[in-house]
Amino acid sequence: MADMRIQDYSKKQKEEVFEQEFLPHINSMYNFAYRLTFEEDDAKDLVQDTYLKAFRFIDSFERGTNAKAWLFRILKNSFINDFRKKSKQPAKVDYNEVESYYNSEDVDETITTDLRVETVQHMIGDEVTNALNALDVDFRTVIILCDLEGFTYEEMAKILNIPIGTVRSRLHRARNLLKDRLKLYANTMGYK
Amino acid sequence: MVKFSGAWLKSRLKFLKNMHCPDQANCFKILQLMLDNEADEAQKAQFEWQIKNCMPCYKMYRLDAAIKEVLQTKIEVKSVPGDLVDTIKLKIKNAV
Repeated sequence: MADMRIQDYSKKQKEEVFEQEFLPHINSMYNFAYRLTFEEDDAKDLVQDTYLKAFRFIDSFERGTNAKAWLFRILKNSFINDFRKKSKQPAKVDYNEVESYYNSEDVDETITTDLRVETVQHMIGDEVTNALNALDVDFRTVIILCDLEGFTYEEMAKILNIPIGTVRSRLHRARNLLKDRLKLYANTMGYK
Repeated sequence: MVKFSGAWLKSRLKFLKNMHCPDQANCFKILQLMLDNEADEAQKAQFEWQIKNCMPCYKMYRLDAAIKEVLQTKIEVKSVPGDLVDTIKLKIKNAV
């Protein structure tokens, strides 16, 4: 995305790009926004902001390239820069510690879980959703991008602006944390 | 040269298959690449060997695949509010 060439679209071409390449992704965009904010109104605002920014910077987008990843990157940045600041949530943990934990490419961390496949398969949507939503936003994001939206590691690296190795390790940790959450739900609900 | 009985070797193999993966960190990397359809041919071959010969890896892969599947099938997909597209278009029209 940093190496993208600047286009010089006419007004008609801009409208075409917007209609044909950007708007078809509005379902995914809205769901991504909702899974980040947990509020329908906030998700709506975030998607609106994203599309307005996308239109404003449409000359940075090359037709026929990956519009969905381009839009997701704008949405993710808008969420970090605007929505997280607005919510003024206090930092829960030391940032440097989190940074080194997230950005390490080391995936030696292992997990032994006695969570059973059948237990997971019997869970209802709300339990799975709650487990996912309980994760820190950065861990939640990689699972959403990979498992729900089907982005490749390379696309995720571009959306999140991190190396592919970090995508892999963050995803590995996110999945371990999700397993812990699912196990907790399983115990609470009395699943065996 | 020390000789081991067939029964002893079989029992050791069974123990290893069930209890411990000798290269867990590397195996987990391969399992994740397979799960996400990111593995190359060599990694696919390694994966095939692993899940046949290593019970912990096989169990972990099945669990990870099950979790991925429930994420894809059981999480509610929200409908886009009916007025959202029109609102965006209107705002763009006004901005141009």
